[in-house]
Amino acid sequence: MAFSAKSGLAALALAGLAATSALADDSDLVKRGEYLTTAADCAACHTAPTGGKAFAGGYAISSPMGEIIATNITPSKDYGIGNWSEAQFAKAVRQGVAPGGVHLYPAMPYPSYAKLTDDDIAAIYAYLMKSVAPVDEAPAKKTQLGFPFNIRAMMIGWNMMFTPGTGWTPPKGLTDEQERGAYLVQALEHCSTCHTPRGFLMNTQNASFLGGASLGSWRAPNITPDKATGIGTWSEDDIVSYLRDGHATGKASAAGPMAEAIDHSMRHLSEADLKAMAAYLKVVPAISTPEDAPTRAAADALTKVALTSYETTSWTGQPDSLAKHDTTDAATLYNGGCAACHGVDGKGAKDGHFPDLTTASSVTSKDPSNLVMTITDGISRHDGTGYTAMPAFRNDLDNDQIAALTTYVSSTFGGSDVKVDGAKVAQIRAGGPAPWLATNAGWLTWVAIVVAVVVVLLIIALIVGLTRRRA
Amino acid sequence: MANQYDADVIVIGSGTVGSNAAYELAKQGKSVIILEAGVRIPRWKLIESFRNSPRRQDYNGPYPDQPWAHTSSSHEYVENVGGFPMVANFLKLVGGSTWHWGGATWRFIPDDFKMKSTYGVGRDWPISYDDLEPWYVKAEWEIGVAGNMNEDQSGARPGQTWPPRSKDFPMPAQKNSYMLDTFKNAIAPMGYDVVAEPSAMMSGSYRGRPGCVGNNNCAPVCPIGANYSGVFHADLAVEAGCKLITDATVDKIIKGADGKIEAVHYKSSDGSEATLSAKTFVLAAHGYESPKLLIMSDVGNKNDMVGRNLMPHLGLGVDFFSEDAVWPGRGPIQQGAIFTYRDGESRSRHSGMKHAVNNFVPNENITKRLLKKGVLGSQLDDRIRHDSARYMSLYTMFETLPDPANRVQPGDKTDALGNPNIRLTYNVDDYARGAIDPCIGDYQKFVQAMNGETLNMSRDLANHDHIMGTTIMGASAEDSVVDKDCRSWEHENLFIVGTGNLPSSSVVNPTLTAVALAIRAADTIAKEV
Repeated sequence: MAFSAKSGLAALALAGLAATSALADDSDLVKRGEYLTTAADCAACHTAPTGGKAFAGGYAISSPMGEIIATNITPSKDYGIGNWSEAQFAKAVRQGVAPGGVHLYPAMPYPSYAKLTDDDIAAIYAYLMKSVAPVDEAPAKKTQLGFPFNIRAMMIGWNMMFTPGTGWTPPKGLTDEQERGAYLVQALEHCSTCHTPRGFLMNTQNASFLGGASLGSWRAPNITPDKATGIGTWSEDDIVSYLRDGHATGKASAAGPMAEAIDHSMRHLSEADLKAMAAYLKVVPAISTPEDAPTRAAADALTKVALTSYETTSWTGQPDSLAKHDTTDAATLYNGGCAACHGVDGKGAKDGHFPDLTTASSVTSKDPSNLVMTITDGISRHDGTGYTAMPAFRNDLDNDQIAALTTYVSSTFGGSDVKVDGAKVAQIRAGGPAPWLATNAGWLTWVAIVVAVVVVLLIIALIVGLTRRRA
Repeated sequence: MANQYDADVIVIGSGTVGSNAAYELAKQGKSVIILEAGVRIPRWKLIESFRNSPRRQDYNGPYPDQPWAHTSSSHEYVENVGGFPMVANFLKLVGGSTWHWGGATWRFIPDDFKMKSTYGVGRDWPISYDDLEPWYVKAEWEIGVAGNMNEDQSGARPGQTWPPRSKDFPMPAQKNSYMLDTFKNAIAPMGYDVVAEPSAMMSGSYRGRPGCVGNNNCAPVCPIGANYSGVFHADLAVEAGCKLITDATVDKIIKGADGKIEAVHYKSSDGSEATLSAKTFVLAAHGYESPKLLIMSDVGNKNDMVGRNLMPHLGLGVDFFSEDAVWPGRGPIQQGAIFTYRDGESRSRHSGMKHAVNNFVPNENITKRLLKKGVLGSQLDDRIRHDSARYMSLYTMFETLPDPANRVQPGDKTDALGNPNIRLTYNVDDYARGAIDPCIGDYQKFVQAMNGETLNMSRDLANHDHIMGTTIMGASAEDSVVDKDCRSWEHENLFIVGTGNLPSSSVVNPTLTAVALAIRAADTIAKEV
């Protein structure tokens, strides 16, 4: 491992100081560490979102294998990382192995953080140890995955196969700006964690780097420069605007987990770093993914909405009819629930304040997940422009109505042939279809055990046989 | 013992006041059941009903008026026997009447809390402005109020922030419309100041609600939810664990042997009925319905104070054509206020008052007016454009004094559930009438400032949709219904909250004050159960 003993000693000395004086340290190293900690979005998991103490853990990260509880990474000696050396910290962050040989689950994105430079690790360590207030309590919940995922040592084999070597090796042939962007995208912002599809062992498939993936309820779309299915038509300014403000006019608006990443991390990045990320994202290998393909030809033909298509209900003024709201007539739902902002024609506001649905990535995608989730949970996003909200409709529409609306909006404004029913909406809201490994791990493990037992028995039989033969 | 109760607390009414109380209790870990007479109707449905309604200007139009959950649309349900017609618009559905309000979220000023000791009229509150101030802050941040920190809302303390504030609003006031700025500049030389109305029609997005974009449709229903409604807190309360039962009209509050309230009984439209018990009860059913239910149940009314001291806001209005186009209708339906007589010595003689500028899109009324005059063809189009651009209107709210003779009672007609209707007795006094002349004096100057042509400037008082005093708060059980904590003097586990608590009416809309009192009461309850 590339690790400087010198900087480790220095950090230990600093940690000693921190123990006697809890005052915030303004040294350049700590300041840089704070920026890097934000860029790496450590708080997203390690600070509980509803008023949790900074970096005290407790947030339950839902994974297909069960809930993984983020740990306390404050400098508390008993409950946090107060006794960790910088070397131990580096090993946990980059290799997923905490002191005492405890293996972390890759909900902690150490396969991405593996690429962090020694200098950046030192800065993050200095910031956490010196500037963060120690919290002397453990998170209320503990990670308790079911069998076989509760065997943390299984990660040894996984790490051998899927975790890269530590330290930063810049990709070849990039400008300085693109290289900085590559470092931000690959290491700090760990974009791959969500945007690269995972294989059947939940490993990121690097051949499809940033090619888009399903994350339970939400889809992290293809962000390679493929023109038809990625972000190839986005300018660098579009990308910067999206990463900073959560919104690229005429392209997409961030919701769900991406809105959180913008809130906690990307809106705080320097303009130069955002530009570097955009520059790099324009040159990663383009990948075509059918899930993210909009059916543009059909969408372009759909500029006109016949007035008769939504004026299907009659107002009678009778109390029962005024109270009744179980219709699944999607045009009625759209015009009552959506058109006040997005327009009868779906074009939104001219200045982009209300997004144009005919170009919004969640609408044009073949994967309905993000549209279903945006209708269900709305948007509640702190970004570079302040706070952006779209109302959640989970209390106003049932799953059948959300399904009808999703199908209607996709076909009317996105030109997509996506068809969704209430059961599909329920599945998406519940976290999407379970990955193969999660549903099959039980019997796979038993098969492995049976095979192992049979092998052992055979060997014993063989040995016994050999012995007898000798005898 | 604990498992003998259906809930820690039962809240009757899911309007802004009840829902805020329920949400506060749920946040503090209490089990809560909310009982609502109406049903829950999603916003999209109300918008559809509004768009399809031939009665666009009827604020109750899109809302069901059920024979088992009447609204103010049923004139027989709300019966006037006094000298002044006292109907206040109200709805029955989850979220309550704030579905169709103007979003005005003013605080009372310190003198409003001590009318008797300062001006020798009305009553003093058992608490001071300073006691309520932290709860005003909470209410403003719960609801999402847009306002300007440094303004004098008393009309008597130029340059000061009045009432005093310990914390800024969650967001600044919306920018003034062109009309309001024009008017403000025109009347400034006459010594009038226009202050921003603190408003729940938000200037920016807040708590999952988008900011106002000027649909100008705050009533009967905001199409995007930028205007706050009690349904937001009803939903927050449910998401925080409260159980909401709709179509459940409480018809009896049941006393136990020990003077405590033991249970409530309710009926549903399908004929079913149920009785639910709790440790503590919060009655938040509306300024008419809460006292009616107390009287029906013979609860908390030993001194015959329930339903008395009914105080509305009375008022006048003026409309005129301004000489130049002012383009009304941009932004929310109301924005600014003028306080010439809110506070000061005149208040010992006649009502204080608040003038406010309406900001409706006037096209429909202008068109009707022109058609009546026989204007037709292309001339009609031209005149609609011309007149609509120049139309201005103001309304004024007068405070009223508490008088036990003005009251709400159960009537002798019954609704589909067999519950009595609402009977109102109200007569206007000279204190309110005394404000007519000064008000008209202001109107004449306003019209003059705009070189205007007056359309209507009536001296006939009308009532605004505010109800105060009917479950009045006081220092003594002899002359009030609840104590300083909104607790019934007779039943220690019954809290009555709502605008009916207010012992003075001030000149401003009472909702924010009622929400502040309700959150404060919920906090008291949470410490006890």
